[in-house]
Amino acid sequence: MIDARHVPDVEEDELLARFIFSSRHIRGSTDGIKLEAFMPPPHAELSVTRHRDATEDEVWAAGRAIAHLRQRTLHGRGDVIANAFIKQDLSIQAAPLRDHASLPDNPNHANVTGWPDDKARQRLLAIEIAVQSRLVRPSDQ
Amino acid sequence: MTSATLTSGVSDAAQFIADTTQRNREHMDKSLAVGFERILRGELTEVWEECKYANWDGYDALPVSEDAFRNMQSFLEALPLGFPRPTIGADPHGHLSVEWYRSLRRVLSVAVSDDELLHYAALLGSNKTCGTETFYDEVPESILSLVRRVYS
Repeated sequence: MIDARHVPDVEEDELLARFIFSSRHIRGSTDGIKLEAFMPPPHAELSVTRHRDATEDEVWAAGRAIAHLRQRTLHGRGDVIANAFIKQDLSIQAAPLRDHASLPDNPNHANVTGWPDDKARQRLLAIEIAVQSRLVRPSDQ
Repeated sequence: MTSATLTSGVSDAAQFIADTTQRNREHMDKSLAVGFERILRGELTEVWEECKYANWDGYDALPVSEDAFRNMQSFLEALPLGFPRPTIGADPHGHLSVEWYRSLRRVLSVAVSDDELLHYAALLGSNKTCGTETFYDEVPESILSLVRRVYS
């Protein structure tokens, strides 16, 4: 994982992971990811984990830690290049987590910001990002 | 039920056969519609049961309310007979949504809010669109048209 003392800015060609904790976000017919997986909660940013300097196991461990803390099932993750967000005029800020009240430590954590307030516009941005994502299932399922 | 029917005769028997076939076909359509509605209603209930709690997605999503559930129910019931079957989901704003998906770049997603607004976004090949309509117990023609374009 990234050294928490020296966290670099997110680069546009970095691979990011969006963990999926609802089966409703996966399109069963094609194993694709629905746009809702890439929509932020109201008045908040979209939380992602950077693959940078992390092994596959470390990325999954980050997802499982969130699932455990929030009592959810980790169904998979959506891997997407940072540029997919940037092309939609969104920004990605490195936001390492340490001693957070409700989230596990994660030096690879980042936030996608700059979402429009208009809900239809949010859906359109999310759908454009979703089509560029790739679903990866946990290897133990 | 076969669709091959002799309708070219002019006798009373031929007319009886034609009338009976038509009635049977209408009954079959109605049964399919009832089956379709039952399947969708089942899926809607399942999604609501999963998403009516705060943080149902692990990212602080708002819970889907009963009003949102009822509005989606009305939306599904307002879809024309024979329309392609959508899949049902939910979004972090607590809205239920429907998706018509044909391929990566032929997809329409519509969220039905608890205040009777329809927020939609669509990819139609090289084109894309989004917008908001009001739901007054009839699915707006703009939405119906987008569904047709997904499958055209």
